[in-house]
Amino acid sequence: MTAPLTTDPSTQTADPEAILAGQSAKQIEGRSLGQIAWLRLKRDKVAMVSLGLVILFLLVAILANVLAAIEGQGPFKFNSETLNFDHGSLPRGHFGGVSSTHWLGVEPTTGRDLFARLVFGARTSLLVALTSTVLSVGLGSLFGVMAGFFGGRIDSLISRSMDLILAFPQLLLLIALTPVAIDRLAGLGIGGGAAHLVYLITVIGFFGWPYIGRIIRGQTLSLREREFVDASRSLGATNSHILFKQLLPNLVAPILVYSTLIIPTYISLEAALSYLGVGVIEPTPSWGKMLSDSVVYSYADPTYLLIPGVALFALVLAFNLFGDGLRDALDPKAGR
Amino acid sequence: MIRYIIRRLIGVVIMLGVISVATFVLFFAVPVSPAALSCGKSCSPAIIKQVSHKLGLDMPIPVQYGKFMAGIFVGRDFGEGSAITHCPAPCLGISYHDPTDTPVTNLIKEDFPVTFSITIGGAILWLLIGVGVGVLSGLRKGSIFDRAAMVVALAGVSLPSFFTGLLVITFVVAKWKILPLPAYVNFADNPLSWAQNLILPWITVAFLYAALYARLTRANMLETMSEDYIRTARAKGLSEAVVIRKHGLRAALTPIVTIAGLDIGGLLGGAILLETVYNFNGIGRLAVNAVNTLNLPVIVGTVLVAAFFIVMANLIVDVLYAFVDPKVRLS
Repeated sequence: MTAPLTTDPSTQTADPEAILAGQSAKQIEGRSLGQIAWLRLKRDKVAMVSLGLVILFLLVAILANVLAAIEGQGPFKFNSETLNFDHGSLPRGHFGGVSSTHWLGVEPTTGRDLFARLVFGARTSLLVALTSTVLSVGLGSLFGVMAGFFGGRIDSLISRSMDLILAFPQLLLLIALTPVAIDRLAGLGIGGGAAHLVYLITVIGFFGWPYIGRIIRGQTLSLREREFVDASRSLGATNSHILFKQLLPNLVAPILVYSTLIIPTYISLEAALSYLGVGVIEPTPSWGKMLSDSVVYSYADPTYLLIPGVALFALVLAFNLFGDGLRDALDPKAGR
Repeated sequence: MIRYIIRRLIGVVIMLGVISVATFVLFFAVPVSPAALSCGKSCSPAIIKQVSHKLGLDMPIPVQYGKFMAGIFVGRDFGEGSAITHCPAPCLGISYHDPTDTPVTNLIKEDFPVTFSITIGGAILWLLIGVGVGVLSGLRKGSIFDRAAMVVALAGVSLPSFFTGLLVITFVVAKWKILPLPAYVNFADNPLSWAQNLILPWITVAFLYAALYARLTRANMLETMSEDYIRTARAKGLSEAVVIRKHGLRAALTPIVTIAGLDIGGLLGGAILLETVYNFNGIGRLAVNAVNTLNLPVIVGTVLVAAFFIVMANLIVDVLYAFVDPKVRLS
């Protein structure tokens, strides 16, 4: 009863995609989560402006020597001709000696150019903040994901270590360890300004990892129970495959958001340490050091106090705003 | 409940033990002699030896640790013969210099009221303002009040507290002469003057924390008020005021308690930046001075005391939580 199916050669080469393409010129695009987040972020004006500011600060830091060269000044040069020695070695002129040769004025007593010191200070600030963030986030993600995934003894060991580090008074310990650590670095052949930078980056980075470690551990605990993990395990995936190829990509969003929110706190922390006199040392320019140097002159020359302070505020604000925007874009539920 | 508290207390004791060992290793098990470090660069080997011997630094590290821990409970004596310095329990060692041979415990006791005053006054201020603004903002999301409050809060969290303090001193105190430069006055001597002098440090610390708390409270409030059980409560016909008070606030504010406990515990161990900005001699300032003069016994003492406050704050918060939330007790 069944008649042999007569086949027309044209039906065999049927290509639904071709038909769709012919029907409408409008392509249906597959969008990854990253693309969706980027689209959302692009619509957020505040986030885009703050991103612009962040990039501007990064460019200033990278091009610090170029900018100082355009102005025609250097961060280390003493300009005694700009100072009024009859008047407490304060800068000549208004607003701390602002002029066409010294765009933001000069430092009292030394006459060093403040614009040059500010742009080089941005370099110090961002170098310390960004590298210690990388260190914290790297350690925190690694240990957090391990604690959450393996559980048991590994989890208790990592969790207890995190509790221990969090129990220490962070700022106090950073200050207290300075003499011991600098001495130790000198023993390793790292001395002078470099030792202080290395010290700042390692201690800020190291003592910060448990904060992100806890968040990543919590996220991993819930991800671990999801079907796609079971699926890949039943396909014979190794632990390291599940950890790095299955779990980690799902943790990119919280890691990114946390990183952008941790950077501003590290910028303030570096400034605070330099302000307290345990951060970078002379002659390296740093906003925190500029602030602590400016205190003596704050009454007679408030410009000197305001310049590094406002720059610090603007940079921290830009990162905070961008972090908020990024969080909204990656996780629309959070914080609304 | 009792079992839970006992379990947590044992945990705290273990934690404090581990912290003391870790601190000891960090500061004393370094290749350089702590005595040489305390003594500075222009120090003869003879003096280093003498100092090492007096402070007991020439003994093996575990023995030193044992003596240190024993000192906390029963006190100890430094030096020998006529030049003996007694350090009564709880002894955290003796200051190496400036002031010489004073028990570290006494130095900390002397400076604690300053730090305590700054912390408690500031905390009351920031909790009232931060949580109040956060709740109102969360309930009236998108209103002019909410927007204005959130702009101020964002500025608050982005302004490092020491810069705020410097601005206050330069403008409010020096330029505009609205208030005199704060100088600590004992509460017992003159309560009014005590408060007057502390008002600027309180405002400075509260500005940062109130901003943080307002943002956090607002986010918690928004999340809580969109929960299903809030809809259920409304559906049962409860008035909005009851829904907010009984169902919303309770869930939204419990996380704030945790953070407040930790922040207060952290500040009690030394409000370092504020004390430096306002030149108040609190524990934070004591620690910074000790670092600058390389006074190792004082550094170790202040680190341990600060860690003690953080651990105790953690404990108190956990016990309070256990009262509120049965899940915590059972886990």
